[in-house]
Amino acid sequence: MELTRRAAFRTVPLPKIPWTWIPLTLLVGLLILILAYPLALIFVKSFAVSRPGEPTVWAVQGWVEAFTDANLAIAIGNTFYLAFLRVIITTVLAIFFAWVVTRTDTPLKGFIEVALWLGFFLPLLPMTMGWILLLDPYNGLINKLLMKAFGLARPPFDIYSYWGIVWCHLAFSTSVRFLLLTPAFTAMDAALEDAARTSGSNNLGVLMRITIPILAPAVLASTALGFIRSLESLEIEMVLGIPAGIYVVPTKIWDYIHWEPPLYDRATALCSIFLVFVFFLIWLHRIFLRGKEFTTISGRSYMVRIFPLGRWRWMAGGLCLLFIFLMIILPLAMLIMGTFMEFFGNFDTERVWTVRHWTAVFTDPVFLRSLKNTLVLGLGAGIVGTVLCSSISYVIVRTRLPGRSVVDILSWLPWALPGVLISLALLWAALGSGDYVKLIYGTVSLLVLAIIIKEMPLGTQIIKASVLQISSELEEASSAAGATRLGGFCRIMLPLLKPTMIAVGIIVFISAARDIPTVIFLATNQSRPLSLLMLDYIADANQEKAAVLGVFLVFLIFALLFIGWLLGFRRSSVRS
Amino acid sequence: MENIFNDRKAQPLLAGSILITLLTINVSFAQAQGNQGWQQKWNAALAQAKTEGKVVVLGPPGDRIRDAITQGFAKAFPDISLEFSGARGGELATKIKAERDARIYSVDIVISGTSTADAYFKPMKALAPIEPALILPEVIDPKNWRDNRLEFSDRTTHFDLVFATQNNVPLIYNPAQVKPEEIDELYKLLDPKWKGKLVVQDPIPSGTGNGVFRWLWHVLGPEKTKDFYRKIRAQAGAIDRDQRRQIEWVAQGKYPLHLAPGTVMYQLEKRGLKFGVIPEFKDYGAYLTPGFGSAMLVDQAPHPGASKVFLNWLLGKDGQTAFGTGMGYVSRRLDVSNDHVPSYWIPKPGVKYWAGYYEEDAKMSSEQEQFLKTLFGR
Repeated sequence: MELTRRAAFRTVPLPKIPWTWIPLTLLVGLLILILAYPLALIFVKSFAVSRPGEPTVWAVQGWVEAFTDANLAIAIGNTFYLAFLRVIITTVLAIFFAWVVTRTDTPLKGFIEVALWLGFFLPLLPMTMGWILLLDPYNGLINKLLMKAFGLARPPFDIYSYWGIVWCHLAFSTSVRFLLLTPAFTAMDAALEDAARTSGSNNLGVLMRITIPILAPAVLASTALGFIRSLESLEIEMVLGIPAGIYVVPTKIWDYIHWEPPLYDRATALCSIFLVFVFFLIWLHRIFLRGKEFTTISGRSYMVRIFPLGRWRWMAGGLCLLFIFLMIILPLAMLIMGTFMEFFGNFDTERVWTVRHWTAVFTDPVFLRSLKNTLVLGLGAGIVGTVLCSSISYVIVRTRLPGRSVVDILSWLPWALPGVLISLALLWAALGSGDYVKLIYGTVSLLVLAIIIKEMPLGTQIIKASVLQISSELEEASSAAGATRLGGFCRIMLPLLKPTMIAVGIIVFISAARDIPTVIFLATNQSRPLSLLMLDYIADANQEKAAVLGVFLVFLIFALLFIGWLLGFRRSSVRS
Repeated sequence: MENIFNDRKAQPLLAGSILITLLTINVSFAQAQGNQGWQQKWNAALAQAKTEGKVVVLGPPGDRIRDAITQGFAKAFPDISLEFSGARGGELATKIKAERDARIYSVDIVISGTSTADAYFKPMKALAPIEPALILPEVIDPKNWRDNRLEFSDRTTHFDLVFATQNNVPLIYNPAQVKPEEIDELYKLLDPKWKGKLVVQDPIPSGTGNGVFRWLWHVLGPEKTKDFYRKIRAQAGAIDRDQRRQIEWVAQGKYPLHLAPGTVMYQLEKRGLKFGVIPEFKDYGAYLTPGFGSAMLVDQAPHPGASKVFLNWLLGKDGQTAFGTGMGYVSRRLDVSNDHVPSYWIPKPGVKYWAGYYEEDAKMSSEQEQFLKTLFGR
């Protein structure tokens, strides 16, 4: 009887929940809150078709109008055509430059590396204006020079064309891919390449059959990034494409957003094209990486060797310098020159040269506050974003926790939305989620969050690729020696991930400093960054002052990098 | 001496004198009361504004308008800080709607084009009647304003006060390639010699292109206008939305004609771009626009005292001078000089103008919009 009573009252033991599930749960919860919720909100609201002030009406009208647009098919075709062209060219260029800088004895490698970084810092719109100054078919300087020199009847170059658009993207796109690939190339153990050479392979064979396949995660991630960014690219397409009648999907999205009243439902509907593509990329990415090892850093001694190219090193150096001169130095020089002209590229006005744009910018009453906000925004997004992306990447690659696939998918989602819709989503989410969440509205913190969300796919995928390169045996050894998981992460993983994390941090900082659409709905007079000051100047048709800000930001970033270098935050670079 | 009060001949005169004296005393007393009335209101508003400490104003993007408003107000009222944020009408409305749905009321005044009030803020019921906030006699007195009245885009409800109206230039040209007499009438634009040489401001989004094309619909009627739309589309070498780019094309000679140039033309001209201006067509005139020259008081403004002070400053002589000088606008006040305004923006006597900014005229009909989309849609 006593036994039966005891049996009746015996409690069912609860399943043991490992403590490591707690941070994962928190991470998933955080990502759902900051990513899935705002994005879901914007898609749900795309079915609310009533005008401001009217009762809400739910319908699919916006989606129907968006997808029955007669010109949409052409826009989609243009978008993918331009994206493919850019990705193919920049993949080849970025791999070549990363390999030359990190694995060969090409002369002036240090200069090449810095110059390619510069390409990433340069503001897109003013740089495009620089190219228009040179290659406009009507009065571009290079066209005029060549027509005069060779007696040509028609200008040889037309910047307002498909190739003009691709051309203007080359510097920035190649630089960002280079930035992301270089840490992976740097971290690769030379033993693998040595083995290939010992077996009789030449340098090109080693590059194509060993180096690139081993670095596939990084190459794939940067290619995916490049493709998505190409699909969503807007500024250059608007400036060069519209006069030539070349419309792309982002142009249409922009048109809908700038309709009166704005047609956010149609804009969101078109973003579903990118969402489908993102899911396709996720699937492709997983298929390719499944069951393969990409470890290049293990418990064995890690060696980076420079390979001599012989006399080919001069050719390699020459090609790099030619690219840098044509794509970076020349347009940068035009850009800086333009900031000292009354009218960018116009030599026919009464007063051609002036410093008043510079003095006007630096004496603008809101400049200092905007600068302060930009620094807070950039550093906040750069540091917090990098830490968050690193955590997500580590959880996805290194743990076996259930739900990490959800984390992986969530981290890709922001790529489906242009910045202005991310801004709108956060506006609605922040203001519609209760009194405590509302407190964040109007502060720089919300802008930081917006930038982190926007750059999360990039940061996560790139750091993930780096984590894949590092063998787990290093942490296992650390754990066997008595270190905690956190200790192992801080003393083993972090130093090895440092170059990639610094690269990601810099990219996020620059994005924060320059981004306009992602902050447009969230900034107030107090939290306004320099990018919105740039918008003020563009609204007044004063692209020259906007260009001054662009050049200033380049120097600011270099100054911050230098300070970081002095403080010891150095990205390890290859030395022969 | 006879008693004047008993003199029958003198009695009417006496009565009249007494009446006039009483009336005069009454009017003077009422004036004194009124003076005290507006003065009291103004002092109360000032005191409240100083306690509030700031006023929040939204308006269009651009550092010119920001400087025009903030610097002038700061000089006049250094104790009241002005927070100005600029964005497009649609963006402003989206933000304000989201805030108001969350019961956040952060904005006091909106300065914008009239379409912003008509398309967004009025339907959202986000506006308060502006007249009760007007206190200073120089603001309220209609004698100080053109047409002897305060002008509103919404003529029945009076939420959106229009304080600037100027001529909207329909056409600019390159003087090296075009003579003004070749294009000073509307239908001369359809001359075959201009085929491919005309750049047109896109008429679909809100702006000068939209305004010109609405004006055409008004002056020509639907059928003639549709025919004109088709023909001008066939004439056009380019349709664009970038105001500066189009004006530069004209100055460079790439396209010698530009239909519906944007208001940045004045700034670009001041900076040195050279182009000719057709201020109005000889046959059909032009139309009047307020540009960004209308003001609205937001309902449940968080700083009501400062709002009143700002509005009265903006609509007074000093505010209108600051705004007009900074933006190159033609104020509707009669005591504000137009020396800073280009002559082509000042409405001329004897020219046919259409005031297309009233609420009832501000939107295109769906027939017109649909027709334009088929011709100009991208």
